[in-house]
Amino acid sequence: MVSETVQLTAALVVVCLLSGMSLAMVYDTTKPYIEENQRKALEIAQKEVFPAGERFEELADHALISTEKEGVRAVYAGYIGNTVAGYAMKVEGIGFGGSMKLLVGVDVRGNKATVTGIKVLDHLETPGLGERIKEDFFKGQFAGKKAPLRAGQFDTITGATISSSKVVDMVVGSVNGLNAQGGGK
Amino acid sequence: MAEEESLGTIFSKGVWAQNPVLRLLLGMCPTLAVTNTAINGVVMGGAATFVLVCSSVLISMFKRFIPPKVRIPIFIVVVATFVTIADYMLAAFLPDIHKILGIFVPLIVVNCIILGRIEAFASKNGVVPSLMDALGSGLGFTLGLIVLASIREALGFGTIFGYAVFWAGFKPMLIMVLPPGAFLTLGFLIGFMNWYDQRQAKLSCAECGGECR
Repeated sequence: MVSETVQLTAALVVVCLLSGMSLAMVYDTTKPYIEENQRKALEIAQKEVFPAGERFEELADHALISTEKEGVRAVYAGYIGNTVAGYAMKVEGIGFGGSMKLLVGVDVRGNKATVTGIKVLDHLETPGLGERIKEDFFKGQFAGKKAPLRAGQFDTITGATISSSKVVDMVVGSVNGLNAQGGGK
Repeated sequence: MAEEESLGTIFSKGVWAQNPVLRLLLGMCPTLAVTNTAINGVVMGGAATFVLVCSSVLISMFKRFIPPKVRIPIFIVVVATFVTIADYMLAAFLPDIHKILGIFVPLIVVNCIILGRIEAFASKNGVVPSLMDALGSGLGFTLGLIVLASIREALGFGTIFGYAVFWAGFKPMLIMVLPPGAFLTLGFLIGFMNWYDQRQAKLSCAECGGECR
Protein backbone atom coordinates (compact mmCIF):
# COMPACT_ATOMS: atom_id res chain seq x y z
CA MET A 1 0.00 0.00 0.00
CA VAL A 2 1.64 3.20 -1.20
CA SER A 3 1.02 6.20 0.99
CA GLU A 4 -1.13 9.01 -0.38
CA THR A 5 1.67 11.55 -0.20
CA VAL A 6 3.82 9.42 -2.49
CA GLN A 7 0.93 8.98 -4.95
CA LEU A 8 0.17 12.69 -5.14
CA THR A 9 3.83 13.58 -5.49
CA ALA A 10 4.33 10.99 -8.20
CA ALA A 11 1.35 12.31 -10.18
CA LEU A 12 2.68 15.87 -10.08
CA VAL A 13 6.22 14.80 -10.94
CA VAL A 14 5.02 12.83 -13.96
CA VAL A 15 2.88 15.70 -15.25
CA CYS A 16 5.69 18.24 -14.80
CA LEU A 17 8.23 15.98 -16.48
CA LEU A 18 5.99 15.46 -19.50
CA SER A 19 5.26 19.17 -19.65
CA GLY A 20 8.94 20.07 -19.46
CA MET A 21 9.86 17.57 -22.16
CA SER A 22 7.22 18.77 -24.61
CA LEU A 23 8.15 22.41 -24.00
CA ALA A 24 11.82 21.66 -24.64
CA MET A 25 10.84 20.11 -27.96
CA VAL A 26 8.65 23.03 -29.04
CA TYR A 27 11.31 25.52 -27.92
CA ASP A 28 13.96 23.81 -30.01
CA THR A 29 11.71 23.64 -33.06
CA THR A 30 10.58 27.26 -32.98
CA LYS A 31 13.87 28.83 -31.83
CA PRO A 32 15.46 29.28 -35.27
CA TYR A 33 12.26 30.89 -36.60
CA ILE A 34 11.98 33.26 -33.65
CA GLU A 35 15.63 34.32 -33.90
CA GLU A 36 15.25 34.79 -37.65
CA ASN A 37 12.20 37.03 -37.07
CA GLN A 38 14.04 39.16 -34.52
CA ARG A 39 17.05 39.47 -36.78
CA LYS A 40 14.88 40.48 -39.74
CA ALA A 41 12.95 43.03 -37.69
CA LEU A 42 16.19 44.63 -36.47
CA GLU A 43 17.65 44.63 -39.96
CA ILE A 44 14.57 46.37 -41.40
CA ALA A 45 14.72 48.95 -38.62
CA GLN A 46 18.44 49.60 -39.14
CA LYS A 47 17.92 50.00 -42.87
CA GLU A 48 15.03 52.37 -42.20
CA VAL A 49 16.96 54.76 -39.94
CA PHE A 50 20.23 54.61 -41.92
CA PRO A 51 19.33 53.70 -45.50
CA ALA A 52 22.89 54.17 -46.79
CA GLY A 53 24.23 51.36 -44.62
CA GLU A 54 24.96 48.21 -46.59
CA ARG A 55 25.44 46.01 -43.55
CA PHE A 56 25.30 46.53 -39.82
CA GLU A 57 27.40 45.15 -37.01
CA GLU A 58 26.77 45.48 -33.31
CA LEU A 59 29.63 47.13 -31.42
CA ALA A 60 30.95 44.99 -28.62
CA ASP A 61 31.40 48.06 -26.41
CA HIS A 62 29.22 50.99 -27.40
CA ALA A 63 30.82 53.22 -24.75
CA LEU A 64 33.69 53.71 -27.23
CA ILE A 65 31.37 55.67 -29.49
CA SER A 66 28.77 57.09 -27.15
CA THR A 67 29.38 59.09 -24.01
CA GLU A 68 25.67 59.00 -23.25
CA LYS A 69 25.35 56.20 -20.70
CA GLU A 70 21.77 56.56 -19.52
CA GLY A 71 19.72 55.77 -22.56
CA VAL A 72 21.90 54.16 -25.20
CA ARG A 73 21.51 50.37 -25.03
CA ALA A 74 23.32 49.22 -28.14
CA VAL A 75 25.07 50.73 -31.14
CA TYR A 76 25.15 49.14 -34.58
CA ALA A 77 27.81 50.37 -36.97
CA GLY A 78 26.53 50.81 -40.52
CA TYR A 79 29.13 50.03 -43.17
CA ILE A 80 29.51 51.16 -46.75
CA GLY A 81 32.11 48.81 -48.15
CA ASN A 82 34.63 48.47 -45.34
CA THR A 83 34.26 51.89 -43.74
CA VAL A 84 31.85 52.89 -41.03
CA ALA A 85 29.50 55.46 -42.55
CA GLY A 86 27.03 55.81 -39.70
CA TYR A 87 25.43 54.29 -36.68
CA ALA A 88 22.05 53.03 -35.59
CA MET A 89 21.68 53.58 -31.84
CA LYS A 90 19.13 51.75 -29.74
CA VAL A 91 17.95 54.21 -27.09
CA GLU A 92 15.64 53.48 -24.20
CA GLY A 93 13.73 55.97 -22.04
CA ILE A 94 10.58 56.34 -19.98
CA GLY A 95 7.67 57.99 -21.75
CA PHE A 96 4.14 58.67 -20.55
CA GLY A 97 2.97 55.06 -20.49
CA GLY A 98 6.21 53.21 -19.79
CA SER A 99 9.43 52.26 -21.48
CA MET A 100 10.00 53.49 -25.04
CA LYS A 101 12.68 52.13 -27.35
CA LEU A 102 13.95 54.10 -30.32
CA LEU A 103 16.43 53.40 -33.05
CA VAL A 104 18.29 56.58 -34.04
CA GLY A 105 20.29 56.64 -37.25
CA VAL A 106 23.21 59.03 -37.80
CA ASP A 107 25.48 59.60 -40.76
CA VAL A 108 29.06 60.36 -39.72
CA ARG A 109 30.66 60.82 -43.14
CA GLY A 110 30.51 64.61 -43.03
CA ASN A 111 32.37 66.75 -40.51
CA LYS A 112 29.30 66.77 -38.26
CA ALA A 113 27.08 63.83 -37.39
CA THR A 114 23.76 64.11 -39.25
CA VAL A 115 20.54 62.42 -38.17
CA THR A 116 19.27 60.17 -40.96
CA GLY A 117 16.05 58.96 -39.34
CA ILE A 118 14.45 57.56 -36.23
CA LYS A 119 12.15 54.62 -35.64
CA VAL A 120 10.03 53.77 -32.62
CA LEU A 121 10.76 50.11 -31.86
CA ASP A 122 8.57 49.72 -28.81
CA HIS A 123 6.31 51.95 -26.77
CA LEU A 124 3.39 51.92 -24.36
CA GLU A 125 2.01 55.37 -25.16
CA THR A 126 -1.71 56.15 -25.40
CA PRO A 127 -3.24 55.10 -28.73
CA GLY A 128 -4.20 58.10 -30.83
CA LEU A 129 -2.32 60.60 -28.66
CA GLY A 130 1.15 59.55 -27.51
CA GLU A 131 1.19 56.93 -30.23
CA ARG A 132 1.46 59.73 -32.78
CA ILE A 133 5.23 59.76 -32.09
CA LYS A 134 5.24 56.99 -34.71
CA GLU A 135 3.77 59.25 -37.39
CA ASP A 136 5.91 60.73 -40.12
CA PHE A 137 5.08 64.39 -39.47
CA PHE A 138 6.80 64.04 -36.10
CA LYS A 139 9.50 61.48 -36.87
CA GLY A 140 10.42 63.15 -40.13
CA GLN A 141 11.60 66.41 -38.54
CA PHE A 142 14.79 64.81 -37.22
CA ALA A 143 16.26 63.70 -40.53
CA GLY A 144 18.94 66.02 -41.91
CA LYS A 145 19.62 67.86 -38.64
CA LYS A 146 23.28 68.17 -37.73
CA ALA A 147 24.90 67.71 -34.33
CA PRO A 148 24.93 69.37 -31.87
CA LEU A 149 21.14 69.25 -31.62
CA ARG A 150 19.01 71.42 -29.36
CA ALA A 151 15.64 70.26 -28.04
CA GLY A 152 14.14 73.62 -29.08
CA GLN A 153 14.76 72.80 -32.74
CA PHE A 154 11.97 70.25 -32.75
CA ASP A 155 8.20 70.44 -32.47
CA THR A 156 6.33 68.39 -29.93
CA ILE A 157 2.79 67.04 -30.37
CA THR A 158 -0.26 68.77 -28.91
CA GLY A 159 -1.93 66.45 -26.42
CA ALA A 160 1.16 64.27 -26.25
CA THR A 161 3.68 66.66 -24.75
CA ILE A 162 5.32 64.15 -22.42
CA SER A 163 5.66 61.38 -25.01
CA SER A 164 6.92 63.61 -27.79
CA SER A 165 9.31 65.74 -25.75
CA LYS A 166 10.82 62.58 -24.29
CA VAL A 167 11.45 61.30 -27.81
CA VAL A 168 13.10 64.64 -28.66
CA ASP A 169 15.26 64.39 -25.52
CA MET A 170 16.27 60.83 -26.36
CA VAL A 171 17.28 61.74 -29.91
CA VAL A 172 19.12 64.91 -28.83
CA GLY A 173 20.87 63.10 -25.97
CA SER A 174 22.03 60.15 -28.02
CA VAL A 175 23.21 62.23 -31.00
CA ASN A 176 24.99 64.82 -28.89
CA GLY A 177 26.51 62.02 -26.85
CA LEU A 178 28.52 60.76 -29.79
CA ASN A 179 32.22 61.33 -29.07
CA ALA A 180 34.94 62.33 -31.51
CA GLN A 181 35.30 58.80 -32.85
CA GLY A 182 31.57 58.61 -33.41
CA GLY A 183 31.57 61.81 -35.45
CA GLY A 184 30.33 64.15 -32.75
CA LYS A 185 32.97 66.85 -33.05
CA MET B 1 -26.75 15.99 -16.52
CA ALA B 2 -24.40 15.47 -19.43
CA GLU B 3 -25.97 12.15 -20.46
CA GLU B 4 -29.18 13.77 -21.67
CA GLU B 5 -27.50 16.43 -23.76
CA SER B 6 -26.66 15.76 -27.40
CA LEU B 7 -23.23 16.71 -28.68
CA GLY B 8 -24.84 19.48 -30.72
CA THR B 9 -26.40 21.02 -27.60
CA ILE B 10 -23.11 20.86 -25.73
CA PHE B 11 -21.46 22.66 -28.62
CA SER B 12 -24.10 25.34 -29.19
CA LYS B 13 -24.45 26.09 -25.49
CA GLY B 14 -20.94 27.53 -25.46
CA VAL B 15 -21.73 29.77 -28.41
CA TRP B 16 -25.02 31.34 -27.25
CA ALA B 17 -26.73 30.25 -24.02
CA GLN B 18 -23.45 30.08 -22.08
CA ASN B 19 -21.29 32.33 -24.19
CA PRO B 20 -18.16 32.87 -22.06
CA VAL B 21 -17.83 36.57 -22.86
CA LEU B 22 -21.41 37.80 -23.13
CA ARG B 23 -23.21 35.43 -20.74
CA LEU B 24 -20.79 34.11 -18.15
CA LEU B 25 -18.55 37.19 -18.18
CA LEU B 26 -15.47 35.00 -17.89
CA GLY B 27 -12.04 35.88 -19.21
CA MET B 28 -12.74 39.61 -19.00
CA CYS B 29 -9.07 40.61 -18.90
CA PRO B 30 -8.20 39.67 -22.51
CA THR B 31 -11.76 40.54 -23.58
CA LEU B 32 -11.44 44.14 -22.54
CA ALA B 33 -7.76 44.58 -23.28
CA VAL B 34 -7.12 43.25 -26.77
CA THR B 35 -10.41 43.88 -28.56
CA ASN B 36 -9.56 47.19 -30.21
CA THR B 37 -9.07 45.69 -33.66
CA ALA B 38 -10.93 42.76 -35.18
CA ILE B 39 -7.80 40.86 -36.14
CA ASN B 40 -6.58 40.90 -32.52
CA GLY B 41 -9.90 39.36 -31.51
CA VAL B 42 -9.50 36.58 -34.08
CA VAL B 43 -5.97 35.69 -32.99
CA MET B 44 -6.67 35.98 -29.26
CA GLY B 45 -9.78 33.80 -29.68
CA GLY B 46 -7.88 31.33 -31.83
CA ALA B 47 -5.02 30.99 -29.32
CA ALA B 48 -7.42 30.55 -26.39
CA THR B 49 -9.48 27.99 -28.35
CA PHE B 50 -6.33 26.03 -29.21
CA VAL B 51 -5.34 25.90 -25.55
CA LEU B 52 -8.88 25.08 -24.41
CA VAL B 53 -9.37 22.24 -26.91
CA CYS B 54 -5.97 20.65 -26.32
CA SER B 55 -6.20 20.81 -22.52
CA SER B 56 -9.83 19.63 -22.42
CA VAL B 57 -9.12 16.60 -24.59
CA LEU B 58 -5.97 15.70 -22.68
CA ILE B 59 -7.58 16.10 -19.26
CA SER B 60 -10.68 14.13 -20.22
CA MET B 61 -8.46 11.36 -21.58
CA PHE B 62 -6.42 11.01 -18.41
CA LYS B 63 -9.03 12.03 -15.84
CA ARG B 64 -8.91 8.61 -14.17
CA PHE B 65 -5.23 9.02 -13.34
CA ILE B 66 -5.50 12.50 -11.88
CA PRO B 67 -5.76 12.36 -8.08
CA PRO B 68 -8.62 14.72 -7.08
CA LYS B 69 -6.54 16.38 -4.36
CA VAL B 70 -3.94 17.72 -6.77
CA ARG B 71 -6.21 18.20 -9.78
CA ILE B 72 -5.96 22.00 -9.86
CA PRO B 73 -2.12 22.13 -9.96
CA ILE B 74 -2.18 19.47 -12.67
CA PHE B 75 -4.76 21.40 -14.72
CA ILE B 76 -2.68 24.56 -14.42
CA VAL B 77 0.52 22.80 -15.52
CA VAL B 78 -1.27 21.28 -18.53
CA VAL B 79 -2.84 24.61 -19.50
CA ALA B 80 0.45 26.49 -19.00
CA THR B 81 2.23 23.99 -21.24
CA PHE B 82 -0.21 24.52 -24.09
CA VAL B 83 -0.15 28.30 -23.61
CA THR B 84 3.63 28.33 -23.85
CA ILE B 85 3.45 26.20 -26.99
CA ALA B 86 0.93 28.66 -28.50
CA ASP B 87 3.16 31.58 -27.48
CA TYR B 88 6.25 30.12 -29.19
CA MET B 89 4.23 29.25 -32.29
CA LEU B 90 2.87 32.80 -32.59
CA ALA B 91 6.35 34.28 -32.03
CA ALA B 92 7.77 32.01 -34.71
CA PHE B 93 5.10 32.27 -37.38
CA LEU B 94 3.02 35.42 -36.69
CA PRO B 95 5.61 37.77 -35.13
CA ASP B 96 3.64 40.99 -35.81
CA ILE B 97 0.52 39.77 -34.07
CA HIS B 98 2.58 38.22 -31.29
CA LYS B 99 4.03 41.65 -30.61
CA ILE B 100 0.57 43.25 -30.41
CA LEU B 101 -0.95 40.61 -28.14
CA GLY B 102 2.11 40.81 -25.91
CA ILE B 103 1.39 39.85 -22.34
CA PHE B 104 -2.14 38.61 -23.08
CA VAL B 105 -1.04 35.31 -24.59
CA PRO B 106 0.84 34.17 -21.47
CA LEU B 107 -2.16 35.36 -19.45
CA ILE B 108 -4.35 32.71 -21.11
CA VAL B 109 -2.94 30.43 -18.38
CA VAL B 110 -5.11 32.13 -15.79
CA ASN B 111 -8.06 32.71 -18.12
CA CYS B 112 -11.01 31.44 -16.09
CA ILE B 113 -12.82 30.10 -19.16
CA ILE B 114 -10.20 27.44 -19.63
CA LEU B 115 -9.84 26.32 -16.03
CA GLY B 116 -13.62 26.64 -15.69
CA ARG B 117 -14.43 24.33 -18.60
CA ILE B 118 -11.82 21.79 -17.49
CA GLU B 119 -13.03 21.72 -13.89
CA ALA B 120 -16.74 21.83 -14.74
CA PHE B 121 -16.78 19.64 -17.81
CA ALA B 122 -13.66 17.91 -19.14
CA SER B 123 -12.68 16.37 -15.80
CA LYS B 124 -16.13 14.73 -15.52
CA ASN B 125 -16.96 13.76 -19.11
CA GLY B 126 -15.65 11.66 -21.99
CA VAL B 127 -13.27 12.77 -24.68
CA VAL B 128 -15.82 13.49 -27.43
CA PRO B 129 -18.25 15.56 -25.31
CA SER B 130 -15.26 17.44 -23.83
CA LEU B 131 -14.00 18.18 -27.31
CA MET B 132 -17.42 19.55 -28.33
CA ASP B 133 -17.67 21.58 -25.13
CA ALA B 134 -14.21 23.07 -25.68
CA LEU B 135 -14.92 23.84 -29.34
CA GLY B 136 -18.24 25.46 -28.44
CA SER B 137 -16.85 27.60 -25.64
CA GLY B 138 -13.80 28.47 -27.73
CA LEU B 139 -15.95 29.51 -30.67
CA GLY B 140 -18.25 31.47 -28.36
CA PHE B 141 -15.25 33.27 -26.87
CA THR B 142 -13.79 33.99 -30.30
CA LEU B 143 -17.11 35.24 -31.73
CA GLY B 144 -17.68 37.39 -28.66
CA LEU B 145 -14.24 38.97 -29.11
CA ILE B 146 -14.72 39.48 -32.84
CA VAL B 147 -18.11 41.18 -32.44
CA LEU B 148 -16.80 43.40 -29.65
CA ALA B 149 -13.59 44.18 -31.53
CA SER B 150 -15.35 44.92 -34.84
CA ILE B 151 -17.68 47.45 -33.21
CA ARG B 152 -14.79 49.12 -31.40
CA GLU B 153 -12.55 49.15 -34.47
CA ALA B 154 -15.35 50.51 -36.66
CA LEU B 155 -16.22 53.34 -34.30
CA GLY B 156 -12.69 54.02 -33.06
CA PHE B 157 -10.65 53.74 -36.26
CA GLY B 158 -13.38 53.71 -38.93
CA THR B 159 -12.26 50.30 -40.20
CA ILE B 160 -13.03 46.59 -39.77
CA PHE B 161 -10.12 44.19 -40.36
CA GLY B 162 -8.27 47.24 -41.67
CA TYR B 163 -10.87 48.05 -44.36
CA ALA B 164 -12.64 51.41 -44.21
CA VAL B 165 -16.33 50.96 -43.45
CA PHE B 166 -17.48 54.56 -43.17
CA TRP B 167 -17.79 57.47 -45.56
CA ALA B 168 -14.71 59.58 -46.17
CA GLY B 169 -14.43 62.28 -43.53
CA PHE B 170 -15.89 60.10 -40.78
CA LYS B 171 -14.38 61.26 -37.52
CA PRO B 172 -13.41 58.20 -35.44
CA MET B 173 -14.27 58.17 -31.75
CA LEU B 174 -10.97 57.63 -30.05
CA ILE B 175 -12.57 56.54 -26.78
CA MET B 176 -13.85 53.36 -28.43
CA VAL B 177 -10.34 51.91 -28.85
CA LEU B 178 -9.27 53.02 -25.38
CA PRO B 179 -10.24 50.94 -22.33
CA PRO B 180 -13.56 52.76 -21.62
CA GLY B 181 -14.76 51.81 -25.10
CA ALA B 182 -14.45 48.14 -24.17
CA PHE B 183 -16.71 48.55 -21.14
CA LEU B 184 -19.29 50.61 -23.07
CA THR B 185 -19.45 48.18 -25.99
CA LEU B 186 -19.59 45.12 -23.74
CA GLY B 187 -22.44 46.67 -21.72
CA PHE B 188 -24.49 47.42 -24.83
CA LEU B 189 -23.84 43.93 -26.26
CA ILE B 190 -24.95 42.18 -23.07
CA GLY B 191 -28.00 44.45 -22.95
CA PHE B 192 -28.85 43.56 -26.53
CA MET B 193 -28.49 39.83 -25.86
CA ASN B 194 -30.80 40.02 -22.83
CA TRP B 195 -33.36 42.08 -24.73
CA TYR B 196 -33.31 39.58 -27.59
CA ASP B 197 -33.79 36.60 -25.27
CA GLN B 198 -36.68 38.26 -23.44
CA ARG B 199 -38.35 39.06 -26.72
CA GLN B 200 -37.95 35.43 -27.88
CA ALA B 201 -39.45 34.24 -24.60
CA LYS B 202 -42.45 36.50 -25.07
CA LEU B 203 -43.00 35.36 -28.64
CA SER B 204 -42.72 31.69 -27.72
CA CYS B 205 -45.64 31.92 -25.27
CA ALA B 206 -48.34 34.18 -26.66
CA GLU B 207 -50.84 33.72 -23.81
CA CYS B 208 -48.82 34.97 -20.89
CA GLY B 209 -46.13 36.98 -22.65
CA GLY B 210 -43.30 34.94 -21.17
CA GLU B 211 -44.55 35.14 -17.57
CA CYS B 212 -45.05 31.38 -17.31
CA ARG B 213 -41.41 30.56 -17.80
